[in-house]
Amino acid sequence: MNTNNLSLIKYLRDMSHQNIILTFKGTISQEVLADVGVNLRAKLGSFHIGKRIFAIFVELAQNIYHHSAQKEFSVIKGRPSGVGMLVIQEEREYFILYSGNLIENYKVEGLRERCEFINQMTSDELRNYYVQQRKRPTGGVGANIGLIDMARRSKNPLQYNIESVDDDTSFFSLSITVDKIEDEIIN
Amino acid sequence: MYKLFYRNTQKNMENLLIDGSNYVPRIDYVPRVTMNVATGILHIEGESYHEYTLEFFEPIFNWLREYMETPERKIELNFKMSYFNTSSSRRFLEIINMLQEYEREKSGRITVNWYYEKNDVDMLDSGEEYAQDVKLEFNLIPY
Repeated sequence: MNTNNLSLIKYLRDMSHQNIILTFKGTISQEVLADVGVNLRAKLGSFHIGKRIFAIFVELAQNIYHHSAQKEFSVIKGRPSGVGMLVIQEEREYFILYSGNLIENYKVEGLRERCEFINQMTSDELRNYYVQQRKRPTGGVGANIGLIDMARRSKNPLQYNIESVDDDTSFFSLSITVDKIEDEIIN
Repeated sequence: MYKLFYRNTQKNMENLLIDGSNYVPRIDYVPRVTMNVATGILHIEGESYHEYTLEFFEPIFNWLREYMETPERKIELNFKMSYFNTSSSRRFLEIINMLQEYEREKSGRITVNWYYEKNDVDMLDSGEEYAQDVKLEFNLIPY
């Protein structure tokens, strides 16, 4: 027997101990995203925050497609798509949504500054920043307002970590906490 | 990929219909779009989170450009969205800006109606964020 064989039951138990309700690694297709989204919202149906969580999930997934430094050719999409990880964890009083992907090293400083800039803003300032940034033309495919949108919807700071991988890339992990509404916490 | 009725000739301009739910398998991540030549009434409703919104919205922009070649038309744009991603949010702004330019430069008569589910404060906020920036008749309507 191959000793490297992954013990799925152990893997599942670990996930369950950490209250992980969803995990994904790879390049997520639009169809899978929609499918996961429908299920996620059904599961979170009792939560007013279900919609916010879904919205954040979409932004995280689309950040990965467009910005991950690691690309794979997607047969379904007929073009290269970014690869990364998505995890959702449910704790008693909040949800945390995680994304992780490689980014090019030259983007690290800009990304760090943007996160810090967003994190020191009040909700009114974030609103104005969102409206103002949305008017500015972008060079790429993204809308360039995903991070601001997630900070606004979550009503919590962006928590992020950037670790150097090699001369060209770093691993960017982002976690977004969404507090449950008090009435909805089951004791 | 989408159900699309559109022909690129000014004389025979046709109504535009995009409806992902008519497609097999159904597509849930694009809004239902109807644009009527005779009435000038446009509807964009449902959810919108296509990852390449530029491609999805292209026929909509083309239709509008062609429709607005004729001055002084009356256009009523109805948004009735339950969810849209940030990328769609940019495209909506571009559509609204196009209408504003048409009103200003070609005497178009524009009304934008932004419908939001009455408990959906986020969707109301989104509507207000568009309304604050344009000089158009812009109504926020709960349902």
